[in-house]
This record gives sequence, C-alpha cells and structure tokens, in this order.
Amino acid sequence: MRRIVCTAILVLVAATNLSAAEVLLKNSWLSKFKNRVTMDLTYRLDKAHKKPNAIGEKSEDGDMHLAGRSTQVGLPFVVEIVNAALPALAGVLQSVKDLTGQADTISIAGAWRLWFEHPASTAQHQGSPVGVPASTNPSHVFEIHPVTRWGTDNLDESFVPVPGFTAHDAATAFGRYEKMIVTVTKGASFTSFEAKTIGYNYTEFTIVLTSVAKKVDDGYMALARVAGLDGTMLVNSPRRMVFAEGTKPAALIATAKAGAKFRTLAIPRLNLERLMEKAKNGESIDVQGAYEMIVVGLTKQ
Amino acid sequence: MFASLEVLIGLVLVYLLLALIVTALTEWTSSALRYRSTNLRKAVRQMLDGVSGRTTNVDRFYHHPRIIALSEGTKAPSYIPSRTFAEVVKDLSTDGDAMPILGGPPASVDDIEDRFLDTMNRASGWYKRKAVIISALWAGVVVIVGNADTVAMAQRLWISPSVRAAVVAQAERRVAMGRPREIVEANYANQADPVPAESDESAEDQDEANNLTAEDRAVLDSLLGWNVDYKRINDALCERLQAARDTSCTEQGDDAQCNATLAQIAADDRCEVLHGALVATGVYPGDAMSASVMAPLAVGHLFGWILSIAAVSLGAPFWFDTLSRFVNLRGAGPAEKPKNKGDLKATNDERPA
Repeated sequence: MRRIVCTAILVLVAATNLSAAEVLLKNSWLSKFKNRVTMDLTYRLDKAHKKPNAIGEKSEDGDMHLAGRSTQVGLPFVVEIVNAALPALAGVLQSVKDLTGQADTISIAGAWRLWFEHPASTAQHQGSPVGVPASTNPSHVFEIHPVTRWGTDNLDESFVPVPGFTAHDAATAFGRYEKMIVTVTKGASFTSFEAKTIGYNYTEFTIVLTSVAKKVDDGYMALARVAGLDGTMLVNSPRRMVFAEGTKPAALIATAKAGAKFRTLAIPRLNLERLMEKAKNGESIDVQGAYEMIVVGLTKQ
Repeated sequence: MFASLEVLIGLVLVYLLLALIVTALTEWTSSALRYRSTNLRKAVRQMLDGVSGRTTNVDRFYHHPRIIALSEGTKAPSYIPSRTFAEVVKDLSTDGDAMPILGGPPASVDDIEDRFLDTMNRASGWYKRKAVIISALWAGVVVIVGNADTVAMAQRLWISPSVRAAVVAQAERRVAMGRPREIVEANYANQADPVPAESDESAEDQDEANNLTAEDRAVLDSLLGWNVDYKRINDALCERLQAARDTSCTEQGDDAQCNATLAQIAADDRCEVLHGALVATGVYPGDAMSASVMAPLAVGHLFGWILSIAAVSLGAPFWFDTLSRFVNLRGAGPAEKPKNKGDLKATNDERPA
C-alpha cells in the first residue's frame, strides 16, 4: 500500500515538473535587456538564508540565496550571490543580514537570468503585483544571478571558480540545454515564454572562441563552441557566452582571439535575443536550444 | 454508427443518473412533508367524516390505542392494515354512538374492510399523482440548476471521443450495478407490500444501485454545468482586459494604467493566461451576470432543458433498462443482472423445494 502511495506521489510530482510553465515579459523590457548582461534594480530584501550554501557537488554551490521584490523586475524572483563565503564578501553578507525583512531598499545589480528551474503552476505576468515571498525559494523563473553589485560594494571578485565545487557534468548539462524547447508567443505588449522544468545550474566546460568577443553596454558577449573538460566537442555550433563588465572573466575575454580556449564555469539562461528573433506576432513558435551561458569563472588554457 | 450509439449511451446514462437524484429528492420531499401519512389521513377523514371539513370521527379514530400503536412517536401512521381499520371502526361504533362511514352504515367488519380497500385504492392514486408532480418539479430544478441541456450534452459527447469513452465505460459499470428501484409509492391497499413508515424512507435504506458513485459524479461533471456559458460571458471581460493591457503596457503606454490592469488580471480568476493571451475560464462571472446576459442563455438552453426534464421524469428504472439494451447492443455490456432484490427473492421462492 505504502509503495503504491509513494509511486502515485512520484508520478504526480513528475507530471507536475514535466508540465510546461509560462512567463510573460514586457516587450519593452525584452528590447532593453535581450542584449544586455545585467540589470540594475532597487531591491527590497524579504528573506535570506542564514549562511551561504555548503560547497560540494551540484546544488552545493556556495551561493547565498535571497528572496525579495523589485518593481523593475515585476516578477517573483530570487537573488543569488556566488562565492558568497569568500572573505571579501563578509561586508555584503552583513548587509544582507541587516536588510532582511526591513522596509529599506538597496540598489543592486547582477546578471538577469530567465530559467525554468522553479516555475509556478500558473503563468507569471511581468508587472503584476508580487506578494512577500514565503521562503527564500518562491516559485520563480527569474533570477538576478550572480550579483555584480550590492549597494556600493562591487562583487567582481566573486566571479571566480568556486573552490572545491564540482559542477554538473558538461556532457549531461549541455545535452539538456540543447534539447530544451521554449515556446515563444509574441503579443502586442508582452511575449510569452513556455518551457518544461529544467535544472542543471552550474556546469564546467571548455569554450573555444569562434570570434572575438563583442562589447555591449555592460560587458561582453562571445560566441564559442563547447567542449567537455577532456576536450570532447559537445556543441559544435557556436553558443553565446555572456560576461559581466568589470569581472575577471570579462577582462580575459575582452582581449581573447578567435580560437582561444578557456576552462569555464557558467550558468545557463534563456537566450532572449535568439528567441525574439524567432518570435512571430500572435504565433506560438517552438525554439530548441535557445540558451546562453553566464560566465562565472574563466581560466585560459 | 458507433459514435452515435456512444452519444446515445452517454445521454441515457445522464438521464439515469439525474433520475436517481430526482428519485432521492422526491422521496426526501415526501418524507419531510409526510405526504403518505397526510394523504392517508385525508382518505380516512373522507370515509369517517365526509367532505364537510369536520374531523370529529377521524380524531377519535386516530386516538384509538390500536392506531396509536401503528404510529411512530407523534407521527401519524403512513399505512393502516385494512383489518385493523375495520376493527377499530367497529370498536368505536360499539361505544353506543355508531360511527358513520362512507357508503352508509356498515354491516360487518368485512364490509368496512372492503370499503376501506376501495378508498385506499383511490388514495394511492392521489399519492401517485402528487409524487409525479413533485418528481417533475424536482426534475426541472435539477436539470436547470445543473444545466443539463440535452442538445449541449450531445454536442459535447459528439466532439470529444475521450469524454465518450469515459462515459461508456461508466455506463457499463452502471449496468453491472443492477436496476435501481422506483420511487416508493403509497400502495395503501396492498397488504402484501405495506408502505414503509416515513422514518424508514431515509437514504440508509437505499440500494447501492440508487446511490451515485464518484465515477457517476465525474460523468455529470464532464457533461453538465455552466462552465461553457460562464466562459462565454467571461470572454468579453478577458478581451477587454487584454486590450487594456496591450494598450497600456507598451513603451509609449501609461505605466500606472498598465500596473492597474495587470493587478486586475492577477486578481481576477475569470481570465487566465495561455500562450500570452488572456482566455476566459469557467469561473462564475460574478458582477457580469445579469438578467440581460442570462435571458438569451436560458432561451438558448430551453429546448435542451425541456427534452431533459421530460426524459428525467420517465424515472431511473426506465433509463436503466434502456441503458442495458444500448450497452448490450454495443457489444461491450455484461449480461443483465436480476432486475432488483425483489425479483431475486421471487425467483428463489418459485424454486421447487
């Protein structure tokens, strides 16, 4: 009996996870941010973990998880500070502690990230009223991850490989990213994005630049082929890598030539540029493999 | 051919299930309003006091210890055996004041009993007519409240093979459950099948075949209801909200207006987002409901409702028999079970020893 109940629950959970979730972003927001790495926002911090995640494998990534609200985002979302246990970030963690649950807001910046890892069961409409999150992990598809600035504190130093952390295997992770299908429907004011739940946050791999990086307002964007850490080619078609201004990876990529190889630690997000390029007014279009990687750590090979 | 038969099976199953609900409601009404005992008293009064409105004799009759013994607490009996009636009348007549009785002075107990049975046959007819009216009224209420529109149900069954398949599967299960019983009539004159006391007419005595299962309710949920109409009403609101959103939430739009519209969309469960568009849900339209909206809807359903009310009024046993035939015709139904417990008992009684 117990086995039947457990199986039924598992099937139910699996069915829930496999169902497509939907988020609607304002077309004006999309035009502004599809080719930007980061966004600035005024942030009200409601909930925070007491300390950064442990460092180990997969989800034990050393990130600090926060949940709060911002009218610039207009969606339920989380903020994650990478490498939060670094001594250089002690002041930021203290500020997080002081601000949690307070009415005060803080100006922050970080890479915007749209990823269907913790979607809600109903569509999320950018600009709809967002309630106080009940936990540090409310249902969300939007993140500011990683944070590049917290108040006046610059977090560039956190953009380094996480010491002792084992990320997802690149072959598995990129296999999932490549198969991911996003249904995009462009409307007069909003564009809808629907996808099934997908995880595989951090992965470590090798990139081979296919051209020099392009400078954008707040960083760099580079096209690269993706290989495993052992050199096995995983994705031969160039994929977009994004680098936040002022970080060590951005500095490295800025001067890199085509063909340069780097060991890379990165997290995926939807490639809104590619999705919007495919989108047609009033039509639902399925787009496969529309992702790009936010580079957190970069080492020349 | 098969699809048409399945649509018919679906409709017949719905009629059967609604008729079961109507049966239960009719029984409940009869019990709550004590129709059987009231009807019996009316007939007895007519016998003992005529139609003048006087109640002297009937009051004496009902206060007789043997009649009180048939009562349950303060409730008057809903059945009086003819012999008891005759003996009580005779008993009351020997007190020195002969009790008059319809049709002249009674000669004997047998004579009184015969006259009582004649009157009871008529009283059973009165009750039956009343039960038919109550049943038809309930059928009307059930059909309209549940929006059981035969035309709409047939369309829904016709366009959805999955709904048809689910309904046919449930029809087969229903047939296997056996024949439901009729509305219990007030057969006052039939001593072999006495009328149950009013308190015994509760749901606890109903056969399994007369109860609705969860699967039955799922069938009704899939074919009945106002969702489609509510969606139609909510469509206008969703179109209006989407137009407001698409005007105000653009780069040139008014931010405050956009936020207000989005707040309204978030708070209103009459619309939901699907592929970026606002689509109506089947939620009750609330303030959008008005006589001007409801009137055309009711007119649109009128023909389907009349068909359903007429069908449901035919009773559950009729629709069970029809359903059994259709299911067997489709070739998927089990052999018909004995019609009811009474039939089974009769069969056993007829066996040679």
